[in-house]
Amino acid sequence: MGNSTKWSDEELIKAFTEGGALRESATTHIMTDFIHYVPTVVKKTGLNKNAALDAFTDAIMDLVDQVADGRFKEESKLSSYFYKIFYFKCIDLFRKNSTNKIDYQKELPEQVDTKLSTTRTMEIKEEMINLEKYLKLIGAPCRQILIDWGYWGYNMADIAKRIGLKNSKQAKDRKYKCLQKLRKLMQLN
Amino acid sequence: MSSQENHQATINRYHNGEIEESDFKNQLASDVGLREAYELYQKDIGAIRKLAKEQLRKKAALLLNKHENKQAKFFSLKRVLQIAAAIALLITSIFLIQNYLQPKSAEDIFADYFELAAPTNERNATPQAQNWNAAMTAYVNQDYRKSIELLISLVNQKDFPYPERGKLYLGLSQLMDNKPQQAIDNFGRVASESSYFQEAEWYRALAFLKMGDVERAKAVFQKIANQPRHFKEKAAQVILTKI
Repeated sequence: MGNSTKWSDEELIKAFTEGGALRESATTHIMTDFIHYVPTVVKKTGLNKNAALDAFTDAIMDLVDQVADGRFKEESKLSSYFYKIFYFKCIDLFRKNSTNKIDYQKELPEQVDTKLSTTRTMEIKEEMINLEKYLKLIGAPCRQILIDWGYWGYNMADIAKRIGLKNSKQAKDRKYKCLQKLRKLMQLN
Repeated sequence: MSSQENHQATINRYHNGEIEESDFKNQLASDVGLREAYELYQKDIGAIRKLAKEQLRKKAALLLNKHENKQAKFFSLKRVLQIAAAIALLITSIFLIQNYLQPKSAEDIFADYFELAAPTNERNATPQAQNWNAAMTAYVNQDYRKSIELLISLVNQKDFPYPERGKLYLGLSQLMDNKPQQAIDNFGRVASESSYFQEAEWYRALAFLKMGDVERAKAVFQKIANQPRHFKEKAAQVILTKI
């Protein structure tokens, strides 16, 4: 499944759908492959680098979601599809931060499905700043267990291996405790 | 299995595609416990997604930094190569210009400017006059050893009436006989007040060139070039631009 240098679109789609270590590995791969879009879009839109990085991260997460739940119809290359998601997120951000209009229609005539994240992403930016304060308190081990389970989709057996626990039951117990901790921190926020 | 675990199992089966969406929605509508568990699950996932985003954002920033450094190195290397190419071009140009404008060799300049003075003959019938004419005949016939022998003899005679002329042609004969240093000495002995002095000075400079002593040649040519009335003033000025 994919050599160290290049994954095909088919391999990436399979990895995102499968979840776990494959999804995480495929995500790292596309982030490395697509990172050069950031300076390109910064130049095109005039957005600052930090905002572009936020939009880039959101676009990556959107792409993974859309591929994993079957919304990506494989009508274009993954890279082209990603670029559109990313570009429109940047345009949205730029509009929020400026009164200048950008005529993007000439460049990208098609809209893509960004309804999952666009508004929510922009709105939670401010929430993130506050939430981050509390989430930092969760600690690195809990953070990793929760992300592996709740975002990457690792099963308990794999999580147990990753964090050096004996079996999946121990991993499940640990995950439960971390979730409790997370919920308490969210209540503080 | 507790109800909490049951609800979680149902939620997991839904997310794994084992329960149809419509069925799941029906269960949510009829099961308050399941509905509450699902709402909590969504909040958990939402917060976890935020954690994941923070982690991915940091990764993206590192990747961008790496990408920018790589680009900077690439452009830096490109710039270095451009500068190297410009330097190479400059060196090549200087080399070509120098070669093109390179001054002629001393030998070449000598060849360009040296002209053997025409002989002068005497009408007298005196022995010295006859010996002089014999020397000139040998000179004209390129029998320079003979002309040298005869001219040395004449120049050393106390009563020889044309000593300065004699030294000049002796020097010329020696120059033609490939004895430039002797020629230089004799040219240098021609009296400055003599009418043959300017010629002797000119040939002396050329003799230095023939010998390869460019610095001494330059010094004499410079002296000639500074004399507006010297018959070879202009020629000396031109030669000085070439050596």
